[in-house]
Amino acid sequence: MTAADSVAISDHVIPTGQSFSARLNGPWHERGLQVFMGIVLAHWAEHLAQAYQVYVLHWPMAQARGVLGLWFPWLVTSEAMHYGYALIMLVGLWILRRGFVGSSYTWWMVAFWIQFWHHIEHALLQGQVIVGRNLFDSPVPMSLAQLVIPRLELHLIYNTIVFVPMVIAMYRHLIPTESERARMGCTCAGQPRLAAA
Amino acid sequence: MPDNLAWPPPNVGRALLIFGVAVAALAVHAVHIGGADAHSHEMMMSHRGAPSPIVRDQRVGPYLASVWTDPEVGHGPMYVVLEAADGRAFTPPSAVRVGVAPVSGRLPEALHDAHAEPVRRGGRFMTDVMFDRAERWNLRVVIDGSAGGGQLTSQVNAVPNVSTGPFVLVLSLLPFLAVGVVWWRAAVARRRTVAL
Repeated sequence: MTAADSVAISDHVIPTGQSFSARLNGPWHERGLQVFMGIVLAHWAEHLAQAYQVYVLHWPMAQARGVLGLWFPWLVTSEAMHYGYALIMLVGLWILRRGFVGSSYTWWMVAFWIQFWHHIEHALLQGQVIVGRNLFDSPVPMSLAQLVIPRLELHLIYNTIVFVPMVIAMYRHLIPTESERARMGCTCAGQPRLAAA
Repeated sequence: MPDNLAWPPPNVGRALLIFGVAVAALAVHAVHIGGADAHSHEMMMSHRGAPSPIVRDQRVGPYLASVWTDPEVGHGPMYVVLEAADGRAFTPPSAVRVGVAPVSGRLPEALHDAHAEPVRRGGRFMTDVMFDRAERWNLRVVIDGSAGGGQLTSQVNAVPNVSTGPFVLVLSLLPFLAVGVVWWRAAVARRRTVAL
């Protein structure tokens, strides 16, 4: 894309007086999604590093703390990273939703609502710690999904089932139908007609 | 405004914000009440696989004892949960020890001291035990204290976890592959669109 294209697009999608949310879902949507996807992939990279440490390098589970966890162990040994990431995901999915139109919006909101449920599970965990009693008389706080998937991999599965509709939404958003493209206010799929306008 | 913004209504955003702030506040509170280490450990375990009961409400001296663990091969936590039997007042034991040994007899029993965890009713004791092979193991819990004590015995099957290795590795790699495919397809589509 040339500088001239950028100017043409910016002129089209940044009317004066736009709110932050409108800009984030308009001219800044492409960059916003890139940053958001960078955070998501960084989180996956941590899981990949941890899996490599456990299953390829055969490190003990307690020492396999990914990459950041080697320097900041409290990130892994507390709820901080899990919960912080869940919160960032929820906020990111919500504030970037308006840039999506049509089927991509539907898929994005599917990811949002699954992540919302994931957040409720976190709330349940926190609640059990605060109240001092765990569900099902378990010695550790339990989430509801653990009844179905009582495994270490539950966290990964949760992130996967949020990630899949997110990627479908991104695909539909980056490769929209003509009618969807006409309704998009961002530059994510390219705007040749705007450049020509 | 695009027509897809008609739903969800604007007040949903406010409700979600309040919910998020409330849960974040609860999270901060949870980590700071009654010992951050114990609680963070508890919550971390919820991401590591749920323990299940091996023994439930078995009488040991003045206690009803339950034993919980996630019996995968490798190091893992073992919990001994105690309640007062016969409706009496709960007197904490002075020591709880957990012994594990393979039924085959190829290793001697490894006896571990379990430490007390903060609970509001009864007692809960935790220790890390090691199952080095997927086989049947003898379990022995020894309880001592001024109110009395005793021991319980049981058996547990340690299950292999090697099958999860490739699964986790592949699952962790897929997002990068998926994003790569989407990025490549989008780049091709964008090039075609711009060329029109």
